[in-house]
Amino acid sequence: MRWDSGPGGSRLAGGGLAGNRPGRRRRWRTRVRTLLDTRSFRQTMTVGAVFVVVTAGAVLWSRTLLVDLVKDHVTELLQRDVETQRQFGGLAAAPALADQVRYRERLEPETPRKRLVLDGQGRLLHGEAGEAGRLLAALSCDPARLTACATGRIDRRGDGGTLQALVVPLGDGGRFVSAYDIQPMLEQVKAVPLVAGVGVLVFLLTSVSFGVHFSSGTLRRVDAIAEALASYAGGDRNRRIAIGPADDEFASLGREINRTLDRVNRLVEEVSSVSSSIAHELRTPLTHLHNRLATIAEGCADEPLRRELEEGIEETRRIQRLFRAIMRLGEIETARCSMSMEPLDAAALLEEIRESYLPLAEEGGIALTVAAHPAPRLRGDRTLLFQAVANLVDNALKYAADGGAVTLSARIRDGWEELCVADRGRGLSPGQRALAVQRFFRFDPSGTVPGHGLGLAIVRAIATLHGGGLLLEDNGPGLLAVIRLGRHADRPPPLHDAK
Amino acid sequence: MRVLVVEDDAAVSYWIGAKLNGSGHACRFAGDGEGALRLLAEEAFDVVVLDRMLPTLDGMEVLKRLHGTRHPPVLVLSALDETSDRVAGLRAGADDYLGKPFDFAELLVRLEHLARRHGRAAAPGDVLTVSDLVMDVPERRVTRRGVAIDLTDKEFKLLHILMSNPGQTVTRNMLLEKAWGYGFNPQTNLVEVHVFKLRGKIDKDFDPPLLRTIRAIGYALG
Repeated sequence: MRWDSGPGGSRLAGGGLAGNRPGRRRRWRTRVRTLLDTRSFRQTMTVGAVFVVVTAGAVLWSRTLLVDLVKDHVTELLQRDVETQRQFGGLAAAPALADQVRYRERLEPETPRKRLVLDGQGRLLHGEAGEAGRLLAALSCDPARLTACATGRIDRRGDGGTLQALVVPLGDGGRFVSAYDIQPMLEQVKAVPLVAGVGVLVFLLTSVSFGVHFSSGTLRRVDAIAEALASYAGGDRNRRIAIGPADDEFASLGREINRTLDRVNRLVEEVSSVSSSIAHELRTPLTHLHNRLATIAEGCADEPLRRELEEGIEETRRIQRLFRAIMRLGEIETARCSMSMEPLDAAALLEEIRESYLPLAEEGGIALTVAAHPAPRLRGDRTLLFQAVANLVDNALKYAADGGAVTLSARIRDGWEELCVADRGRGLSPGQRALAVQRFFRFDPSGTVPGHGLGLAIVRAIATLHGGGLLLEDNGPGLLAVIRLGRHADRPPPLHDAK
Repeated sequence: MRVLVVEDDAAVSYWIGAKLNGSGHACRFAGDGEGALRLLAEEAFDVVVLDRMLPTLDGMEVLKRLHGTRHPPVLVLSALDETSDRVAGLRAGADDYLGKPFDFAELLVRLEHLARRHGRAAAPGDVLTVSDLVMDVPERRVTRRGVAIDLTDKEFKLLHILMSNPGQTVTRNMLLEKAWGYGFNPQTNLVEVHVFKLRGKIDKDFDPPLLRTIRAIGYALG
């Protein structure tokens, strides 16, 4: 059997004004980390990453294709220009060509096309001088040594941009240069992958934010379910999962869990009430039996027989005590008992218990004391806790060695309010400690030690009702029994110093 | 005593009646709540034994109807014997509560206590005297023949209960309920142990002994 540390054990963050901001930041960080761990978020991110890689590849490839396309297109334009010129008036003499080109350019709309006509001596017959100089320099052509200049198709990338030109030798030794600055076209083409890239980025950011939104929504609902289940496991039997307005898979999961919890509750209640009702139903026949025996014993003149009958009556009283204990246990376990949680003077409670059990302790030569440290102010039901501590003291006195010591104390440990009974007897092995709290378990099967085996079960039920549990620990030597009550909130300082 | 027994279980009611008659007390019977209220209106009783689970009106309802009227003290005798049941019964106006099954002697002692308290006008005073034993309650002082006797809180409480009912039997359960309160069921015979210590203090060095043990029932003083 395992003892829960109670609801919300390690979840509670340190409060207080100073600890608030770091606490909130830590919570936020934890929340982000948990968010990154959710399935839907990871799936979204994986799909997003694949999409980005594919799109980036496609964008780069399409850019190369587009540049090639532009260049091919311009080459074709230049070739067509030269071909047109050849058909229009031939490419024999530079002066005639220069006239024809001037005539054609007057008819043509403004284009990024540039045409130069140079005669055999390298003189510029057509074209603007400054621009012609820059153009020829870009083509690495010195007009003074025209024959050394390359002809045919030339691609150049320079400071001024990217130049594509077709240099055609003329019949008289001159040159016809038809050139095209493709930089503006390339600039336009470059924008296409850029736009696509921005589109992808926007898409990615959108998908991330959708991912975060859906994941945190999912996470919130999973968290709510986990939190409700933890609280149920911690003892809050009325806790259920809140079903939202949306009729989705979480709603149906929540409904199923709630149905299961209802069923668990019903079973728990049946189990604990069945013992109570058996005890209750048997009381009437037991009353009759007791009364008959008493009547017979009264009118019995035979002394030995009368003693036997009185033994029988005593036996019915024992059964009655056992019934009472079973019913009391059921009453506490199902929280049907009257309970008032009030501030409790632990020192006075322990002192009254000590006084009640002192005669018994003295009989066994056992020193029964209340620990000397100041007892804190606790919260609990005085009657129930009196019973619980009394049961522990009773056990300690029964099992403690003669001449031993039993010490009662109250304390706050790790934020929990605790009432402790420590003895220096034989103690219990870890295995025995687990068995000890079970109903009807007795360490003395011979039955020479009086009791009904429900004492610790009742203590445990009372501690659980207070929001804690019963802890059996090693006192090295002996047993330390701890009744853990609720969490100790910030309450007034200790009321009394214990004697 | 004239006792009204309100009980629907004929066997129990017959048994109580026979025992009460045997002890020299007169009995009337009612099998349900309405019958009980009718008899209470018509006749005078010293004490009422009231079961809780009754046909027509149950015991709690009878207590509610009696509330605020002049009526004899009521002892609730019920199989509903959990602490919460007792608290509910006493809050509803019962003067005592006894769970089933019960010893007739316990019932009789409690009925006698109720009847006597009912007949007695004033509560016991601040200074109680039984033979040469004197208890000053406000001063929390006990002397016998002028010799001061040192008692623990529990012993003082037990002696106070006994001295408040001089010559009358007080059962162990009554002592437990009064000295430790309802809802405490010790696993050991705490009452006997404390009375034993008490007897050692008030009777050991004096004569005659005042504290008597009534076998299998309880104790009486004087």
